[in-house]
Amino acid sequence: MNKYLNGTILEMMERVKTLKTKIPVNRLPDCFKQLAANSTTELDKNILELERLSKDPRFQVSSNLPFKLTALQKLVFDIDYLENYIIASLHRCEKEDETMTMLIDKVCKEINYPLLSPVASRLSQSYYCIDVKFNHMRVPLLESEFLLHMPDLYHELAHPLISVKNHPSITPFQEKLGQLNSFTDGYFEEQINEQRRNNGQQIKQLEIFSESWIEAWSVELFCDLFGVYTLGPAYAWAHLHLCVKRANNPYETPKYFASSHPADDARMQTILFGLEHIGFKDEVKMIKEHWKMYVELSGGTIDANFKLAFPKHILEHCAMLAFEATKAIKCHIANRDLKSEMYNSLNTAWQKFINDPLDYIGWEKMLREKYDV
Amino acid sequence: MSNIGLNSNIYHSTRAYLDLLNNYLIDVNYAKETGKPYSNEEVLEFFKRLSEKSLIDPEAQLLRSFFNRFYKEKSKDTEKELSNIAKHLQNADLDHKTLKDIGALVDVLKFQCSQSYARMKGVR
Repeated sequence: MNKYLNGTILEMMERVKTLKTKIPVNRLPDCFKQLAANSTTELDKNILELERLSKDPRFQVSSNLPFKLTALQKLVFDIDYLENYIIASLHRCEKEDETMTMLIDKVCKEINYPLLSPVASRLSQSYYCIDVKFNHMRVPLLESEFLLHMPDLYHELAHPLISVKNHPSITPFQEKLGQLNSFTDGYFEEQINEQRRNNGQQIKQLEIFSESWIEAWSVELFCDLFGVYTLGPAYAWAHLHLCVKRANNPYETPKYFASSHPADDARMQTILFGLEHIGFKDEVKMIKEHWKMYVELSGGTIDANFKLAFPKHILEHCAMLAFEATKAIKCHIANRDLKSEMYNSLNTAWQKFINDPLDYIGWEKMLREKYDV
Repeated sequence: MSNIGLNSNIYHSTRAYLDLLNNYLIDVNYAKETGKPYSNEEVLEFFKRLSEKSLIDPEAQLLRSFFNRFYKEKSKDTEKELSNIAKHLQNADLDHKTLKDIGALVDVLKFQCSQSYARMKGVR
């Protein structure tokens, strides 16, 4: 079987080398060169690792073949991913991708983002998303042409703040998230212990909520709050908009396994705590009214599990810690007097839409023509 | 909102520590057959870090949560188990049980790595 594995490794090496030729170096815009360089470095690392698997004597002894298989399979994962998402984005890079990348760069400068701004491609099949390793944001095809969902890119910008390692400028952000995790962990442990003492029946549920908080919810809420603190009301409106278009039960909680996203209502509550904290009281009132109407239309009803999973004091504590985190990394906090272009465009777009949803499209079209998008 | 940002983070973290433990087991096996020396240091550091009571690093909290779920299913105490592995590594006392325990954690990371990879590609 070792011979078979080594043959497979040679095949993969050929594939990786061929991938290098798919990066169109001559026609890449400057802002994509960082991604191209990172991809090439990663491909080289993959070649070295494949060589190690096929030549290093430690990987040739039969007792190590199961581990060699694990290592090979993970490398194939990485190479497939590079081919399908990163190199594909470079290979199909167009003018509009450059526009989107420049626009995100403008946002990063406006908010004093402490990391390199990501490269963006319009290849997403699942709304806005970011790959933290390659610093590559993927957005839906038409996203550079419409404004109302654009606030969600501020959420994506927060993910690298959590995952980039050994960067002193962002360590305080990660520490605040760590504090939140310790706090929720302690809270749910107490709740579980109390249930044990009283022969409670919600232990399993509480365990799932506790895991969800540490593995995902705290991260997602921190990213939402980063959006709120750097962009202000437009972020909250965009959350409402996304839910109106795509969501189901706003009070949904996981039943059997940890889930990746907190319930939409918990997100909105946290977003509004944050928004109120930075002084947008009137906007909070208006968004609350719209949220209430949406929830009624959706038919969602609050249940005991929701209250168990998302205690108000945790959501508030999360909003406070994320505020301290955003300030600690010196990002500019949104305020009414801010004059920056993206802040104004996105918040004005939302004001226009809320004031007259039926007339909005005409205004947005005019704006697009003005900016030649 | 997509969960790709979140899963991309989980994938890269679990992938790095999966490599660490997998490579370590390879070194141990090879040493058994050839007598070649290997280093415990990095793996020991990893287990010591995860056994700390008050973890503040979100990445370490995430990994411990995965291990916690695994140990809970077996009605074992995570902190005790991780400290125990660290103790054996510290004393260079790698008995069959310790290696099996590390192997089980490799499986936990393998699972999380595959799951987050699938989710990064849009599979729920």
